[in-house]
Amino acid sequence: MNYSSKISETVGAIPRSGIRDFFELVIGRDDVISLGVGEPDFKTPWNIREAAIYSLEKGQTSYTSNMGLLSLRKSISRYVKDLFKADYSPESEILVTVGVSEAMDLALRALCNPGDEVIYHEPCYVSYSPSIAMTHAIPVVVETKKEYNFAVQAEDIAAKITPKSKVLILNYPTNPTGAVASPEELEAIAKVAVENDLIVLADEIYSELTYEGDPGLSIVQMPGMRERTILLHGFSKAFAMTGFRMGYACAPPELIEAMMKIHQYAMLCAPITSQAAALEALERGGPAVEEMKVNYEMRRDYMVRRLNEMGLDCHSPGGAFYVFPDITRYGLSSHEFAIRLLEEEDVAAVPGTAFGECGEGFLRCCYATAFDQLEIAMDRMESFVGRLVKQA
Amino acid sequence: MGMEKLFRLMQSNGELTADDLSRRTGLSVEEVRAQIAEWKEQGVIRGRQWVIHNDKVQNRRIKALIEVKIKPEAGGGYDRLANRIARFDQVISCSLYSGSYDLLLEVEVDDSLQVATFVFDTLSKIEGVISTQTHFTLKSYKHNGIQFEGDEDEERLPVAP
Repeated sequence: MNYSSKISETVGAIPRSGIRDFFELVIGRDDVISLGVGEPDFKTPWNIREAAIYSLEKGQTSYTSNMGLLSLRKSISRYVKDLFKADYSPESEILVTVGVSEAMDLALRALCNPGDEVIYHEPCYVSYSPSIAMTHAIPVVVETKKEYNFAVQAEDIAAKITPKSKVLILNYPTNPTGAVASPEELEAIAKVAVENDLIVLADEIYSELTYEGDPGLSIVQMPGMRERTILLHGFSKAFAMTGFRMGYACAPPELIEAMMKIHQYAMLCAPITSQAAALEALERGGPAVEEMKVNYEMRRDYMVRRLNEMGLDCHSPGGAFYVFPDITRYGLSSHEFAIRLLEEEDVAAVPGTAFGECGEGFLRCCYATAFDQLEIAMDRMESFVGRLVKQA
Repeated sequence: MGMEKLFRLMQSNGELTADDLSRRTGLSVEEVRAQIAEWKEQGVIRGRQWVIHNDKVQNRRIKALIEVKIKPEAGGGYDRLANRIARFDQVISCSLYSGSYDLLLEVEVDDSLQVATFVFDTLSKIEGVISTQTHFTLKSYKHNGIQFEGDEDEERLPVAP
C-alpha cells in the first residue's frame, strides 16, 4: 500500500526529529558516555515513589476529575503562588496534564486557527515547531544569539509581528541553551505581547533549576500579563519524575476550559498514581530538589570551566542542565563535530542544529550525569579538540 | 558556598582526593588542602573509612547494639562514664540518647560469645551501669546513607530531547 497517500499531509510534512537520527547512531555502541540525555540522572526521591506505591496499596486505580485531583490542584495553586507569585484558583484555573508536552499541545490546539502565527525562539525544545504545525498554524522563528546568552530580545519578537500573530512561546530556563531572562528583558517582551494582543505560553519546566537570579521569575508577573499567559509547568525535571509524565497548566478560566475540552476527549485525565506522586512532590519534595540542584550547579561550573580551558567558547548558563558551547573555531559543522566526537572518543552530545537551524556551530552537552562520567567525557573531548587543532 | 560544597562532598564520599574535590568545587587544590587541614586542626574531621556491607564479608564479624542505662555523676553528667565505655575496642560507636536508655553502643566482635563476655564480664561490672539490653544485628540494609540493595540500573535513553 502507498502509505504516504494515507498519512495526513500535515504530519507527512513534519521532518524527522534530528535527535532521533542521532539516537540511532549512539544506540548499539558500548562505552559511550552520553551527554545527550534530556532528563535527570537522579532517581525520583524515595518519598515520592513511596506515595505512588501507597496510592496503589489504597486501591486508587480509578479515573480522576478531568482537571486532576482537587487536592493536587490545591497544592499546585499554593506552590505556584509561592514560586511564581501568581494566584490561580484550583477549581477553575488549573489543569493537570500528562507532562508539559500535553499541556503545550492543548494550549496550541485551543488557541490556533489555521494560518495563525505562533512565534517561538530557537534554539529550543524540539516539539514546538511540530506542535504548532499540527494545529495548522504557522511556526515563526525568532533566533536567539550567543551575545545575549541566548535570551530572546523583545525587538526581535516585534520584528516578526504580523496581523496573523497570535501566540508567543517562551521557555526559560531554555533547553538546550540554559538561557535565563532578566526582569528587564521579560518586561520588554511583555510590552510587545500586550501591544499586539498575544497570548504567551510560558514553558517553565526548568524554573526550579535556576542558578543565577530568581527561579520564580516569569513573564506572568509583568504588567498586563496575568490575563494573557498560560503558565505551563511540571514535575519531570526538578523532581526527577520524567517517567511519571506529570504537568499542569495555569491560566484564566476561559482558556483552561478550552484546553479542557481537548484534554477530556484525548486524555480523559492524568494517571492517578502519578497524581498521588506529584502531590507528595509538591508537599514534601523541596529538600530533595535543593540537594539535586546543588549537584547540578557543581557539575555546571565544572563543565563550563573545562570546556573553556580546552578552547571551546562556553558561557555559563543560568539554568536547566545543559551547556551549549560554541564549536565554530574548529571549522566543522555541529553535525560533523558530534559524529566525530562520538566515533573517535565515544562521547555523545547533540548537535545544536537538532534544536533549530541557528543552533549551527553549537553542541548541547547535558550535565545530568554522574560527576566521574563528566570527568571522563571532558578528558575525551579535550583530546578530541586537541587533535582538531593539530590537524588544522 | 565553596566550603559548604566541600564539606558536603567530603561527607558523602571519602574517596575523593584533593584533586577531585578541587575539580568539583572549583576551589584550588591548595584551598582544599588548607581547609581540610583547618577542619582537622579544629577536630571537625576525625578520619575516613570504607563503608562495608558486612553481610558480604567472609567470616564476618558479629555486630550488636547495646542499650545501656547509666547513672549520671555529680558534676560530670554522663561524659566521663560514656567516654570510659567508648574506649573499649569492641565498641565501634557510642552516643548518648534521650528516651528510655542513655547510651547506645554498637559493638563488633568475632563471635556471639564475645558479646556475652563483653556485656556480662565487662560492661555490667562498671560502676554506674544500671542495666543493659542487647540486640544482635541480623541483616543490614543501609549504613551511613549508603543503601546496600538500591535501584536497578534501568535503561536510560542515551539521547533524548
